[in-house]
Amino acid sequence: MLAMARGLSRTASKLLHLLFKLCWLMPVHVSDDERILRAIYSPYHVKNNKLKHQAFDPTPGTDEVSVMRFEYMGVGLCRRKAKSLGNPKKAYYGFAVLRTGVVRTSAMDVVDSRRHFCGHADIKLLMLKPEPNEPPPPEAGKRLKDLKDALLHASNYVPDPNPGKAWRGNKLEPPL
Amino acid sequence: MSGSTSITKFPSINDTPSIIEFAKPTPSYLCFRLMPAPITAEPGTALLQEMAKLKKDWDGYGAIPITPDSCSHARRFLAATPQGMTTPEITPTSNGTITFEWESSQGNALIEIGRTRYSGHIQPTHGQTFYLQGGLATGLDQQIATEQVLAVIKELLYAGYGSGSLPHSIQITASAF
Repeated sequence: MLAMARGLSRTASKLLHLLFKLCWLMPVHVSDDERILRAIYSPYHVKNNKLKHQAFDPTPGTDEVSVMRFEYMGVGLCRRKAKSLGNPKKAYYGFAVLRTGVVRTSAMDVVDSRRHFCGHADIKLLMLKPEPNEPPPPEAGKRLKDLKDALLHASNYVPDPNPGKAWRGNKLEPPL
Repeated sequence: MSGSTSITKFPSINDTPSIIEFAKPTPSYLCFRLMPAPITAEPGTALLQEMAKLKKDWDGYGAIPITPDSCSHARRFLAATPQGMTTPEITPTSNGTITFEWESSQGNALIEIGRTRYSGHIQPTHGQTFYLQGGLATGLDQQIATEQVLAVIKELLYAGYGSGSLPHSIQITASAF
């Protein structure tokens, strides 16, 4: 009887894992009350344990800032993903936590982008994409800085004190 | 440069929004340039050397490496930092450029340095934003333009710290965008 219960439990777990992998359990719409996490890798983006606005630079050639959907992925999966996306020369430092609704009130949007992996989303800055290795025009540059500052103020930086082991950082909550 | 106006004073906070592009150097300014400017921004040099070594994807999100040209321009900006200004906060961007940022009680400024040009803005605590841009190919014109940008930032953010009016003129042009 016990063995059968264990077997059923394993099957249910595998099924849930499969459903998650196929992203069937996750709504495409990112709701306003969802928390989103931005993994922080570069030492250039942290100074005196505080984030700099460059931590929210968009991916080159896009107007998108990559984030993870915390409510659906959980801290364990977010950390595993953050670390798996790193490489030996690129340390992982922790997360910036934001609330989707606050991002949207700052004239940006948050959209699901599961084509990268299940749980991936993008903050859309809704502005032009600068030419590689060149600065944007000054007015566009100012607008980009204002948007990144808005993300900075809407975020809470939570360092990961021990990336190799279980989560021992503070609670992953955005600022009130 | 059509529609540009030469002025010999700094833009006041009541001026209309504008993009500042710097004029060709006058002979008097070239004489002024012969006087060596004291360099007070040494700590940033090592940081720029580190940035020059950044590889693709250094930020974990597909960042572009900083080009040697951008690093060289940034070094020029750093070397031209006049006395009385604090060392800027120097940070690479994911787009392969370098930002210099200053903050004082009188406002803040940001200059983004790329492979062939720079752009940025000065935001005084009170008043309008000033936008700056210019080319950074090579040669004396660019070096002088670099110094003029820093002089304007110094005047707007660090006035009262021993800075006086500039011995050269700047041009304010209509927006090119």
